[in-house]
Amino acid sequence: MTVQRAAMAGAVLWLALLWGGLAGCASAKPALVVSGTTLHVAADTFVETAALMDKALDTGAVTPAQYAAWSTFGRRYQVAYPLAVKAWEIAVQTDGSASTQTAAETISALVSELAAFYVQASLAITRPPGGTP
Amino acid sequence: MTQFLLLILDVVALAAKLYPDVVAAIHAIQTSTTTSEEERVQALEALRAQLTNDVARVAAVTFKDV
Repeated sequence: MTVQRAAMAGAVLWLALLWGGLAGCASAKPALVVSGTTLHVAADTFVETAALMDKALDTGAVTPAQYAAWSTFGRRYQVAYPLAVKAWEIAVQTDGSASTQTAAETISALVSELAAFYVQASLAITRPPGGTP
Repeated sequence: MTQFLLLILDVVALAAKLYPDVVAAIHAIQTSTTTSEEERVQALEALRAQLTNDVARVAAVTFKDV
């Protein structure tokens, strides 16, 4: 239960940070710099989460069912991420447009789920199986 | 009480892990609001190159069979 609460708190914190950054920018280019950086951070987080989840599975810190949920999400992320980057590139080429919002919304939806897996994997690695509930 | 302390430690550990990302996001916000138009264009070009690399990194992630 503690893990779930911490995961939820982490996801909310993460999203608040990202949306705070995006909402603070009124014109196109500043918003594109922030959303582009968000996309970059999202890639870093995905790669790091993948490594953590692999390690957690190997050590028994997560169950095969938990890993399967991650795997399903990860494959979906691999399809969606290039599309979000493409939308961002189009927004850059057109100096900001509706696709800026599309890119931000796409990546926000992905990151909210990714943050939960990231926190789950981080906590599983740092805590032994059967430890604090 | 022990569980509460462990939760606090979890949050601190997570904050430490997220710290570089938080710094990057704050830097991006600062960059986007305080720099000139030319610098923003350069930042976007650098980001475009970085994201091309990121797409490849994301695609290269593999998953174990369970």
